[in-house]
Amino acid sequence: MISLAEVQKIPKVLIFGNGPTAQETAGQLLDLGYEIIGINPAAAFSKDISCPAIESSPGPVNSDQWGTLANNPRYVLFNQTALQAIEGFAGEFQVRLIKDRKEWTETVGAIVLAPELMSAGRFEDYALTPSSQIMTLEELNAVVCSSGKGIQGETEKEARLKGLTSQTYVAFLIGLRAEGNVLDMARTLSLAQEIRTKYQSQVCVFCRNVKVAEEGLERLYQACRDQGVLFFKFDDVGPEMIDSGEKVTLHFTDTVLRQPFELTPDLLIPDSVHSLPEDLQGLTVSARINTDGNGYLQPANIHLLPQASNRGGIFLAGPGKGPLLPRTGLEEAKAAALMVHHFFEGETLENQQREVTVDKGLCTICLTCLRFCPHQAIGWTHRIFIHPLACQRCGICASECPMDAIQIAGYADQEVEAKLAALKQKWQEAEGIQPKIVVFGCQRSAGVAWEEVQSSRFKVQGQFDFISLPCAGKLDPDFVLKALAMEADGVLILACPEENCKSIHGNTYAHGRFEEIRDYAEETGFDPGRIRFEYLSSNMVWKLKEVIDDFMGRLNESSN
Amino acid sequence: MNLSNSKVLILGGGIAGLTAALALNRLGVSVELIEKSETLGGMVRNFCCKASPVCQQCGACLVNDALKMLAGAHNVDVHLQAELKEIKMDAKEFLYTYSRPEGGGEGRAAALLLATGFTPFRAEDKPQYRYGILPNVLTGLDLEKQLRETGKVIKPSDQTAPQSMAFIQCVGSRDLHLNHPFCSQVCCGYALRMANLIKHKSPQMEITVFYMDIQSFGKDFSAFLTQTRKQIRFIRSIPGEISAGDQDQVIFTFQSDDGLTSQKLAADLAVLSVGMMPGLDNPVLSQMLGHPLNADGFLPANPEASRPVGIFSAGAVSGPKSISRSIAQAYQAVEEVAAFLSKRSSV
Repeated sequence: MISLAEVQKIPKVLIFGNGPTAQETAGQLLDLGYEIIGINPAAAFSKDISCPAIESSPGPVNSDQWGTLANNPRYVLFNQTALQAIEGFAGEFQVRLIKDRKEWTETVGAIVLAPELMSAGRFEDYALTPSSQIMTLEELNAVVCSSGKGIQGETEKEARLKGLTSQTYVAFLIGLRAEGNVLDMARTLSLAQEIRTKYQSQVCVFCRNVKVAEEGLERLYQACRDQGVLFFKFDDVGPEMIDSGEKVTLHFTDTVLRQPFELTPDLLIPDSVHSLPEDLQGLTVSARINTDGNGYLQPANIHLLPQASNRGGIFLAGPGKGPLLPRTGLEEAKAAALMVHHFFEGETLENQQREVTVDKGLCTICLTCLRFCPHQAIGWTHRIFIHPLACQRCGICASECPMDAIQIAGYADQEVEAKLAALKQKWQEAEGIQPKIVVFGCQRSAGVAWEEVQSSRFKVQGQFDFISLPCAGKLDPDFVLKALAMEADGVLILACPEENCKSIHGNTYAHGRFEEIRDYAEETGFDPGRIRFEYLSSNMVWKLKEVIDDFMGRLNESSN
Repeated sequence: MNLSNSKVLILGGGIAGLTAALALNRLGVSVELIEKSETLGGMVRNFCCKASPVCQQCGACLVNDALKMLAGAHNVDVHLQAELKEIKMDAKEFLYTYSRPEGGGEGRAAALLLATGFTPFRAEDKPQYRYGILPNVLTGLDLEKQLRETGKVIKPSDQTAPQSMAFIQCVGSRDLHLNHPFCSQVCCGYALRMANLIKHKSPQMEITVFYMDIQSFGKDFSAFLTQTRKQIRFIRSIPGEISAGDQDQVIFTFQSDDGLTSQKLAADLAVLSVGMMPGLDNPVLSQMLGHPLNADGFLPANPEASRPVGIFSAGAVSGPKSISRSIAQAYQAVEEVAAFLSKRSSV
């Protein structure tokens, strides 16, 4: 490994984004003293057009402060610029940029991806075609909430809005063909209220679930109802939409009155499809930044909370992680700014200080490590190197290395073997106590549960010893075989539950190796029941006790 | 920027307070943390792991991570069973005293971070659900504790496993009669995740969820809900009452879809998904700090304008919040504290 002292952290942060979250992140990091390169794929920052009812919290975006920050000599902004590729490692990323066909590279220490989502009307799912009867939620929001804020090109839509009277009907469709979200609901509620009070139109909201899990939204929902906005809730896809060619008519059965109704609204507003911009999707693939099942930034893994990515030095904030209220984006901007600040100025975490070594004599540059590293911490030139700022010390590479060329201080083969030897010694001294079990487990989950079991009055008949691993992904098949060879009656392997591994796949790799060892045991005529694998989280003390009891029982049975 | 001469006082050692303490500590800021109860970890310590078998992202295990890291942190001074007695602000510092069973103490801090959390809704305040009267009526928190401690669901009436159970959502939340016009944001999450967990452990169990609206939570929610709907029965109606049935069963009475007739459903166990209410100390804190409560009784985090200088907040003290949101807010608050301290030190 390159030593920590050898690597540098270029004190410069690249912030990618085209809206309030990116601006807020930049503002906060400028305040904290950093040099910033702003990369905006658009021509200008999108305006924060929250309605008053869901107003974002005060930040530089909403105040004159932004102007001052934008003039800060430590801030350089490139508009209409694409982020082509991210190369290198935390502390010293080379970022390839392109603007007006001109390509260049910037070197930065950290990156914050804070994009806005692309939002479009959900026409296809509702089988609607754009017409003068229909306005998307974004369009309506822009017209209603920006009046007086001088957004251009909205005059025709403004005129349609001004044509609304107490005789007209306005219908919103939300969350009927795809799961709704709090952003679309907040917009729908504030727009419904605004239209109802300003034009006295009949406003109907057709929805599946009213999403109010944000501060102030239940109040807003109640206010809408008090003012006569009608809510129709469906447990299916909702009204049937029949397009006469001129107008769309909604046919539905009222859920309360059980009677068929039809409504031809003067203004129909479908909810939105929100997606990560395409070029950014490409970047997440090439830079190996993991996304979730919907293609939004940050996979479903609680260990990445709040703004981490699977890669050291790359942070994620705002709507790019999935639709959210503007004010939540601003909260995330601050949280991301803190994570950047931690990265540069924060104390080095204990595990980050561990030395990882690659033995040049053993390494054949087969690149197995590089392919398995979940944190993209490994690179190669004429030899393999592990980057100390990107590496999380999970040890997956060390266990996958076919040459055993990689070792992590504290968990090196020799050190684990020494622990096993110490156990053997202990067993010899406590002669006759059966069965003897060696437990290998992730220090973060099993290790914590183990300590709690130890400190409780839980008693078992037998020897039960825990050998901690930085991640279950550091389990070497050799460890298991060696434990059995020195007459352990059983080996228990404990890994974090699926999709709860801080190193993304460490637990599944451990499971794969367990299966291999078990198959191998079976082939060699060895009782595979002596090796056991369980998923365990830190707060499952009951399960650890149960597993110990059960495993002890089995081993006693088979030895009798 | 050197913040190592600064100290921050944190009130509350739950997930938000612990996360903030660790985040400040990483910047070299000293922390004095005052916790009212006997242990750190707050409410989250009661919550079970809901992996079934795949992690459902509830975040309950994260408090263990925080506690483990705290054990290795220097410059975090923790006082358990301690309460803030007095606090005042002079030109640049807070001066405070706190009480403890074995004698209190006093200190000075440059900033104050409120992380005193919430109080679960008192299920007794919805007497129609007979909580505390019928043995087989539990709250969501009771169920969390059962699952956390034993990994099993037990009927309190006879300590056996139930065959059927039903959750009632929005107990204490979104309730105009109680003047609680807010959503607690976490109850759909914990109820559905526990329902999935129980179904995973006991595939034969019949589980019903009475609800008004299902709120989104976590990542990939749409796929989560589709999966959940396959094994849990959803009824869009909030029961008017729970009464006693035969053999210690509970009977839910609820309105049919037409809103005219009522229906009944019997189950072995009722779970009341109680919401998050303002912390009991909020009024006292509000007065002590000159920090007005909002209409629901929480100490609002925003707008900053209404908040006295040097006071920050994280977690459910400012309103209902999930574990993940509390963590994000703790980071947000610490960033604000860092900016505040560095501005102050540069003046």
